[in-house]
Amino acid sequence: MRPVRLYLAGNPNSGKTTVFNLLTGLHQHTGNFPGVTVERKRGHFRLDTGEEVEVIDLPGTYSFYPTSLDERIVVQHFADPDREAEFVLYIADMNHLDKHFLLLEQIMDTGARVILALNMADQAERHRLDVDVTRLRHVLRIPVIKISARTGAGLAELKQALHELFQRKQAPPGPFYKLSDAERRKVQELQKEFAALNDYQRLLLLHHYRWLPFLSEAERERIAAVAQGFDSLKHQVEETMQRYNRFLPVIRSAIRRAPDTRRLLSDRLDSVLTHRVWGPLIFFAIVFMVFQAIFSWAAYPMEWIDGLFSQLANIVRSRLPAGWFRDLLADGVIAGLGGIVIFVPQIAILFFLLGILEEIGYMARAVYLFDSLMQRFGLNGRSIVSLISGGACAIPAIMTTRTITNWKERLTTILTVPFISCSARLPVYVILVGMAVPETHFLIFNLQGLAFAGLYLLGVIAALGAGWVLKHVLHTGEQGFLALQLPSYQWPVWRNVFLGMWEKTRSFVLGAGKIILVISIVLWAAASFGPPGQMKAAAEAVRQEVAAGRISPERSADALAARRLEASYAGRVGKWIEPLIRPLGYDWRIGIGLLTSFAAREVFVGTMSTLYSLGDDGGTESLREKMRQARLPDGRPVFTRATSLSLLIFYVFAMQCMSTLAVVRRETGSWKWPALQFTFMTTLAYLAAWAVYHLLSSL
Amino acid sequence: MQFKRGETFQVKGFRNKQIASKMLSIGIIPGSRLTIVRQVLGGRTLYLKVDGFPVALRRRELRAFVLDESRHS
Repeated sequence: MRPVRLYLAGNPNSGKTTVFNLLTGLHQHTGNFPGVTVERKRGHFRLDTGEEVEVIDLPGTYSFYPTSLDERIVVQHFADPDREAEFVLYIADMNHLDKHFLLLEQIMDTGARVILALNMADQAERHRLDVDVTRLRHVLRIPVIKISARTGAGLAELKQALHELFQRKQAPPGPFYKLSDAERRKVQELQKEFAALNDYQRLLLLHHYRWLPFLSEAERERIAAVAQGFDSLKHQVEETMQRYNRFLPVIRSAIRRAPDTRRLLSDRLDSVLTHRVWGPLIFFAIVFMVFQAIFSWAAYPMEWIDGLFSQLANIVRSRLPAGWFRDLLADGVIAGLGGIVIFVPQIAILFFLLGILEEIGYMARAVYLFDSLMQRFGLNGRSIVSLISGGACAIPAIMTTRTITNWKERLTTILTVPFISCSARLPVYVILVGMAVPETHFLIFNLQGLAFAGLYLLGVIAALGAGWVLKHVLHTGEQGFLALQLPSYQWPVWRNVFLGMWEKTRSFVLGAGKIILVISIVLWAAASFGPPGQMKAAAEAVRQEVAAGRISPERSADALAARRLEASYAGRVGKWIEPLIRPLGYDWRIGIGLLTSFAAREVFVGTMSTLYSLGDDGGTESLREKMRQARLPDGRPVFTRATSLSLLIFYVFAMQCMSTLAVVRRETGSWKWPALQFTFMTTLAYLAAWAVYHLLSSL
Repeated sequence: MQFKRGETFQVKGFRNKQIASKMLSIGIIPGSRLTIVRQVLGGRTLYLKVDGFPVALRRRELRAFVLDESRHS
């Protein structure tokens, strides 16, 4: 039997996601709505009566007059002539019903079969607020159920009501909105072309025909002709006011309220947490603790993952016969997979902690606190969430920008987030800071620690600076909004926190993971294969040096690997770009590292360890020691302080991440923006690295 | 209007239709009572109570409101 389709709709703060998680648990998956990059969450559950229900979570919105891409999906869905007759579960916050009826009525006016769930009944009880459900049922003529998605109360009644709704063949109640004469005339002109729609849906076409994707060009032109002289904003205001005037008295008569005490607690918290001075200080303390937790908690699982994958590679190397297939598996596929999975602990912990902050209602306060500052840099208060997420990984951070309604502010956030030092830069920083900065103290500070802090700060400055530039360069007529509701603080719903973490981590592994894996394999091939003659010559050269006693037999395998890499296609490209990177103080080997770290920045470390495995015959010294001993053909060391610092600066600014570029392409819908981003970040990186190298070499 | 802490206003309407559209959607309508609770450093963003419910608005957005000044302190 085909499952019944149920759409979840409601305002952003209605607890819709909590209801979705309660109904479906882990039986959910995230995709995109067709043709756009708006997330579509789907899940399924079974009623006690055996009916299989497929739930689709529509984006939260306040009305049919959308200001963001996410919100457009909702109008698009309800105005589509091809949609199936469907059932809607409308979630409203029982404590603020007056804010939730606008969209409810609009959805009902499209002819959908709606059930109204009054959510957060537990909170209402604590607020000593009650709603006369019978009266609402009578006025709306739809089932109305009180539930609490946090506690699960009312779930059985809701399921029973859903069962009854699916069985009954009752026509939906008549429209609430009375079209004005002018509106009625216009929609009647469209009757023939859109016979499947009702008057109110045709009115929606008049409002939104410019962007509604299901319209053909001919239809669009036809509606445009009818819409001549139709002032969309004016009619929107009239419709909204007519609805408010009608339902506000109904809601007031259905609500019984006693003085509210919890609001007071929330207010008291806000007087500290959103204080003009303490607020930002507390925020920075929280961010500091979040990152402290990420780096200290993630260290252990990352070590296990690292060990697990190198063991896997060893097993493959020892069990399979030698040959390119074995190498592909061990050095391409397993190394590539390891490169993805290694980030999972950090990303999971970040989204776990951000999930808690979101759930308790703190994130909305952070947005309020930083909106003013962010605006100066062309960003939005909501960008602060993306910038923090960027400290773990730019990919999920870019996905969090979808809540920014203004396109220019959203684009600016997407373009600047990759400047924030992500966790993939960390291994590179660790190696290079160790080489460039002595391990001594300056006053009470560890000098290397200061260098780390400086690199992160530099990333933040670059992000804000780029935002400031983009603010003056990008021009769109759109107006930016903040208009943000600040819901009461509450305890987190752990189910939401864990499901959110699971979903974000999964989308990172599946989204970015695929690209990282493919690039790892391509890079493996480029580093393993070369012109056959030269690869052979490299092997021959090593054999002769071993025979001559210049390389000890134990070291011959490492030496061979390094020589083969030099002769490979990757090595040739490294040599080919050497003249370009010579002014920054780099040799061709660093060039190869820059290229291979396109898969993910931390690959630089692995490449360096392959390239510098020749040198002494002790074999136990750390990579850093080996790098220190690397020499240019003229005998000078490769990694002087100037080169190491120049390379560090390069990694702070450069767009060394294919997956991020791919995500930016997906989120902006064109290659123009990732291309621009790549160009300005790389140019900045090059110039800054050049300046650092020359400044330090001349000292 | 200065929009100082503690000031209370009643919304009469909106000067800018786009702002009107956004505000009506989130439940700020003619007749709503606004109280300025606090502002951020720099003062571009305000923390208000709209009919008792906290909302953050940009000062620029608030300038597009038609307000009836009924000052309380």
